[in-house]
Amino acid sequence: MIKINSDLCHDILIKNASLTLEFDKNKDFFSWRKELKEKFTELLGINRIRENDCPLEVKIESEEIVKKDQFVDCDYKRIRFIMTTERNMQVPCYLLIPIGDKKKYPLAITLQGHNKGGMANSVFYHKDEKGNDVFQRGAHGLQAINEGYAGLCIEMRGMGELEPSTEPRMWGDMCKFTAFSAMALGRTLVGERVWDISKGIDAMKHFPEVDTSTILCTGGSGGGTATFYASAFDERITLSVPVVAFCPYKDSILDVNHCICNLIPNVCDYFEMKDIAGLIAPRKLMIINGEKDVAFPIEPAKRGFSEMQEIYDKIGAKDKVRMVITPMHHYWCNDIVWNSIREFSKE
Amino acid sequence: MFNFDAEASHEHIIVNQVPKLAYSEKKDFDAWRKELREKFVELLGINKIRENDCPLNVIVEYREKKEGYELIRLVVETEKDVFIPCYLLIPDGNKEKYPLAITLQGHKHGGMYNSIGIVKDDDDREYQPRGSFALQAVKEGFAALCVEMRGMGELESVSESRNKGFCCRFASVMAISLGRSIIGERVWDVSKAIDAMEKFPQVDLSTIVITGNSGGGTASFYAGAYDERITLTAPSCAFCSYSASILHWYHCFCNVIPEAPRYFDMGDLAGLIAPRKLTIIAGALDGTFPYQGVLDNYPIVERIYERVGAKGNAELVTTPKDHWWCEDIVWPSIQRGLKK
Repeated sequence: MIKINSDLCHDILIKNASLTLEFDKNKDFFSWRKELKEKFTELLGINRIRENDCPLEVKIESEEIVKKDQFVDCDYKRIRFIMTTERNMQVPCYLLIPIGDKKKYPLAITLQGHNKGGMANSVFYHKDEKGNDVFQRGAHGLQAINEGYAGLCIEMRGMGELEPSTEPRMWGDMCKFTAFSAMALGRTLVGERVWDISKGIDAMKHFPEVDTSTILCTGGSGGGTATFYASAFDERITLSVPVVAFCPYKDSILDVNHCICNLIPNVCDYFEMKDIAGLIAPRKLMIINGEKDVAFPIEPAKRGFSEMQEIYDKIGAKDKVRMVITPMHHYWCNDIVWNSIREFSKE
Repeated sequence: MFNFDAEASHEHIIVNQVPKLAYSEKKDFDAWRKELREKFVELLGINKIRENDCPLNVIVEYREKKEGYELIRLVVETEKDVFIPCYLLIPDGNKEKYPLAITLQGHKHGGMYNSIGIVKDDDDREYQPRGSFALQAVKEGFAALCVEMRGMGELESVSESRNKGFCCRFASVMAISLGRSIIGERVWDVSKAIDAMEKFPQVDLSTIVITGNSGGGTASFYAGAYDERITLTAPSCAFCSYSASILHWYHCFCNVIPEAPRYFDMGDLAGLIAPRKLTIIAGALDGTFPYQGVLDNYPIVERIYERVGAKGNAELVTTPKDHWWCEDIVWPSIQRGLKK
């Protein structure tokens, strides 16, 4: 009997993928980057999303002062606002602005991954069994305040408050139905998230205490993926820090089961994840990966990173790209992430 | 606080867009159909699959004598590095040749073995005998061909970590990343399996029926649109407007054809089947492919068949059930359709 290996064809095709827009140090960098950006924008479905664009509307729902406590070093404003990022699409956000001596605070956009509760994890404490506040490692927005940033938490489509609201759609576990319908419409869910992040930056003009000349974007897992692609799309992001998200497609999303929200149709014809660094360079990029991560394995991630370094080297910016490896698995290591950001920001 | 509808932007687009290749009496039919076919083939990723084509390779693994038929296990190499297992059942009888019925399973664990009545657990037991599509086809006088669907049965992923999602999800992800779709791959395989039937002189290829339920019905419908050798297409519990089905409720990811709703709805694809016979079987209580969505799109089918002067060749058959293969309704409907 023939031994059937149903994955063989796809595996071989992916291994031999044409990658027509793969970085080649012998080609002119800027014309390559222009072509890459066009294709990247097209494949993420951003051209389709743009067809549904509309003037940005920002509605502030609430604004409150939160006092400093055992976990957060200063008083801060917690502003909840809703932005209309395209026709019929409202995206909730929280903006956390430290109250201190400075007139303006640099912006840190913090994005959640596939965690129940979505951006609420970034903004509110969890509770332990006794009902006491716990400063969970996912409280990225609050961590950002402690680091001296204004923290912008944007709900990711398909997650948190933007999970499908009706039961048969919820069978798809968080963002799967939304990813499905995006793709059917010629978009991608990751493209929609990138679009929303860009609109979130636009929205900051309504908040004079936010300094958008310095914008950090970071997140773990799905939040890291959105960070990476958003930084490739929006050149206003000055420092991109995707955490436990970078790895060649053929060793991660096309090798083990991941959420379909990671999917970019037809990507194998054009580029690998490391090529997208060409859209971020020479802006700062720091990849943080877990040594024991099985979702985004470390050895292929390291290989991908060294290819990224070639891209940065081509335009004389090799010192602007860095990889940090934590000893953990698929995990946001709070201390390592923020220590690394602090250090890299100063350089 | 604002009451969110996470799906509002998608729904608004779905409800308001007119598919670019929607059928219209104002269009030149042949020009429209040509354009539709090109786009259909492109969006299913069949152009990409064709790049990996290879000479037909058919391997007969074994033949077994069964009560009332011969069971042939074969493997068809449908593209480089793709081996699709199939069963062919040839009825015992006096005829030299038998018309072909291609029967396709949906998302039922085990895949095509259900079609030949194999039972491995309680779930399989509950599914029989209604799930034994191929045995039913033999009783109806057909040679029955079961084609394993990619991502299902023997074609589920070999790796446990890839199978964590619902059977065919990982394979669908791979296909789409490569510019294909898993539906397109299944359609391709069905077409190659028809090619393979040249090796079996007892199979009469002048009459080919294709049928299946749910995911098998979906593949039947698209295969019927693609391969013009198929005489009668009979999808069961699969035909429905996209907006009422796959864009309304969570369905398996294998149903996704990127950008398809921008160009056509399911009813429009009847333009690729007409004037060949089309019998759509739908459950009045089907929640997965809701009956209202069937009724919304079936008029497009009627209009198309009227346009080509083949009004009697399309039929909508309603069962009183939900998402259910009703063999006592499906097979008489197929026989009736063939006699027209």
